[in-house]
Amino acid sequence: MRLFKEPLLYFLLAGFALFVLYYSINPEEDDQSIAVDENSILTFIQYRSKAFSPELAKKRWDAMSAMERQQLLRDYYEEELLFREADSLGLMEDDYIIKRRLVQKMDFILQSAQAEPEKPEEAALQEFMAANADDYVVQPFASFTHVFLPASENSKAIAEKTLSELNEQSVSFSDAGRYGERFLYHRNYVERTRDYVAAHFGEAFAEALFRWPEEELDGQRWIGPIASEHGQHLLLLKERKAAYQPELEEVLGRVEQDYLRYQQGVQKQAAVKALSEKYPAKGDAALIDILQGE
Amino acid sequence: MLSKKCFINKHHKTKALAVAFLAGFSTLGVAEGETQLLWGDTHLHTSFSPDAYFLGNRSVDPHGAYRYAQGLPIVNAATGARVRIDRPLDFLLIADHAEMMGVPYRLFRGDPELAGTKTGQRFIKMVKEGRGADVFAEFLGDINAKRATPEFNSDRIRHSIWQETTRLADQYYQPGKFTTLVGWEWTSTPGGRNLHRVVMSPLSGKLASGFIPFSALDDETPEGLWGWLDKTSKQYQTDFISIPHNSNISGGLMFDTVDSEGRPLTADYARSRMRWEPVVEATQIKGDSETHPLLSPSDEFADFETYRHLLSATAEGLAPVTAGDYIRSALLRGLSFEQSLGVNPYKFALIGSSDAHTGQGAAEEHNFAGKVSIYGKPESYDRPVSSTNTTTVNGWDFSASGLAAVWAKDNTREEIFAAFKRKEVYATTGTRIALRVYAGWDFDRSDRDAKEIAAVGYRKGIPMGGDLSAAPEGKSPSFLIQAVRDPEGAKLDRVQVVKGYLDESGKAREDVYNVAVSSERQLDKQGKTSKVANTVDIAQASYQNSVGEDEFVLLWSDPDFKAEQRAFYYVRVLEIPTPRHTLMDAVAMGKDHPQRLASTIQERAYSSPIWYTP
Repeated sequence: MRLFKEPLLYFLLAGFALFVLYYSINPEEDDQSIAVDENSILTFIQYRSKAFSPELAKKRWDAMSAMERQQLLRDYYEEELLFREADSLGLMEDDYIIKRRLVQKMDFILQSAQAEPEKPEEAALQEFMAANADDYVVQPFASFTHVFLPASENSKAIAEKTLSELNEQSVSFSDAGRYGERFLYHRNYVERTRDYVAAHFGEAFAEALFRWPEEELDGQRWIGPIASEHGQHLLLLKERKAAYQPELEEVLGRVEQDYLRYQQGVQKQAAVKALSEKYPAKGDAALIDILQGE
Repeated sequence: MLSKKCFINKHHKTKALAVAFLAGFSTLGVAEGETQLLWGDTHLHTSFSPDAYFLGNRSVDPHGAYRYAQGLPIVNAATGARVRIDRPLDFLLIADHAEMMGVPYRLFRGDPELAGTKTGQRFIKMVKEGRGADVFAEFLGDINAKRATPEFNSDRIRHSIWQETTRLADQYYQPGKFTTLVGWEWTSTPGGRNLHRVVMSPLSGKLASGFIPFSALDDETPEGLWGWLDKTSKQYQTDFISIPHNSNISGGLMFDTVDSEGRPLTADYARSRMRWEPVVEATQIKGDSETHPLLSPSDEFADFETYRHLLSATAEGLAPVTAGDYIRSALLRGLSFEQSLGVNPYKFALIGSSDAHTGQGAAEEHNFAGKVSIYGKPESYDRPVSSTNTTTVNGWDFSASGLAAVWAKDNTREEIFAAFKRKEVYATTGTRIALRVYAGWDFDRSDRDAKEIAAVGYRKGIPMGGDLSAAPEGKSPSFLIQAVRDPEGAKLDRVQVVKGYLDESGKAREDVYNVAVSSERQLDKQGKTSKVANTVDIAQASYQNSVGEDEFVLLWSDPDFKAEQRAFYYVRVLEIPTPRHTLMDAVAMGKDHPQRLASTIQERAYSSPIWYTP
């Protein structure tokens, strides 16, 4: 299926389609006559209704009264005639709207070539992710519960005492609520980033938490006290993770999206480049240098 | 800075669990009370909205809007700068205008059906000449006058852009982590008077793509909208919520005493309205609609972010101030109607949302991108929106507001929609004050010391948005209130209860009670206190958290309660003064701040009301 990813193929197909279109409108170059037959009128109906179904067009045609048919034929004939005359007068030249429209069509052809893109291969995604590693770094985070002791003269001493009690009785995560006082924000912090923790407890607290020695964290043992501007905190830390580069599968959806967007740009550039041989730039050498520079 | 949040494609849910563990999101792993607080915006426009497009947002489409809300960087449509939200949102409803949705977006991308029309070609020419604002004025004028170019309003165009909108809503939905709600804005503006509603659906984008969103060109009366909601909800076996906003510029129409035909309201009208409109947007970029000094002369905080510019290119003068224009007066009207009709047409909850047209759903004072992209740079604040508008509004007038706070059981479409239905939602002007309000008859003082305010609140009372009735003999309702300041914002000045009631003669009355103030001050016998100290340094556009309170937990019972009087109660929490967004811009530009506008503000939260019915 590699062939179907090749932009040039689509250009060839598109070129062929334009060729066919051209010759269906101009069967013989010197013949100025306008074809009036069922085939032409059905095509016209489809263009007008923007519904590309010959069966439907036929149905509509069959259902029309004689007067409606006459009106439609006149519309068709007039449109065709005026278009031909405009063309022979060269009115298509220097019309920026028509030019933009044609450029747009080329863009659509490129895009529709990728309307249902195949899933990118893992290797390509890996490579893309490595090249844009900074975009995917995961912030440090922690999951913990805490026992809060409001600031007071002896809150540090109370905290030390409570700490031994928590550890002696091996108090579990879900039982933490039986100790200490209500903290104004949350009791449990699950998968919270360092920024989030710092916003609730202050920078010094976050620093202490994220630098707490690894060997003292076994998920069973209470640690602390750590001070915040509100008081003392005793923590049971379930999980702590430093900033890290995620594996592809953790951010797969996002990498795929970013990659496809990037691919669309690359493919269009490749197509433009391929065509640039056919349309070489000519003129001011200095400007051409800028144009073709990396 | 690096990404705080990870984007996870919906198709990788199993992996999402693993990734969710790594990200900073709002779902608490362990329940604290029965509901968790989610923050979102239900009113955001992207480049698919015609006005957004004409006023400079050519590039931030729903992709960009969802990415921004999730905390990922995007490119600002006006400045080309890389921007990101300070704190991601938990949910987002992209509410592009149903009228001509996506039409300019497609027109200037060369959609042949649109670019081929006479009007289309003229518009393309005008935009090329840099007259986008005039195109906008004409476009809006045409929509308002219901004379839109038929080619622009074909079902084919409408359906195809709606399919794109709904497909993207599904693509960015990550249940439990980030919710995308399907919706749109129904934009009826008879005579420049704003009757706009945001329509919210709990449906998946896939199912919602079956219909075409109902627009004001289909019917400009709210009754017409409700009729469509009724029909469509039956057809799709679903539900909708219609959320009115900017009553402050409705010229008295939003909470009127008559229906769209000018007939007095009936019980049927009240029932239809309440079937579809349980929530109102009270504060947003185009001003705050809680109340107005002319309506609440004794409320010293009523003059807050007022905005009175009608949505019309030809309107003269400022929008009038009547009881039909503001939330508090409407809630009072509701009590009167309940007495006379037996049904209250104005018994609604409150939320805030942005109404930003930049695709950037951020109501952060220090990170505000303006209402429309042409105000993306503060240098352009003096520029009027439209060259034909006689009551010129410009970039200084807009308010960096608001947010919708939701107490939901989970961060999913179903649970957020359910919280809106039961009115357990509230408004803030952009700050993230956590506010719990419970009302009941049996609270006692020790409940303030409960380890879990929510646990005792739900057990012994009802949460905001609920009803009390049949007062036990000799008792007054009491309110257990917990307000916690935004951890990254300013401390709290005070908590107030706003009470509205019908007195013995049936006359609507309002009272504002100071129920808690920060500890530097005391309440006197009349419940009055001095203003909180203003720590704002005007020259630096900065403030100090050296006054104010981190948290208030209090129990208040109504000293003036009369069991036979209908009443409502809602809680207003004020922060200490902080710099308004325009002050930061003025300082950055080395310009004087315009005298006519406040340079500091007291950000606030409005709970949804609790009603007492005898």
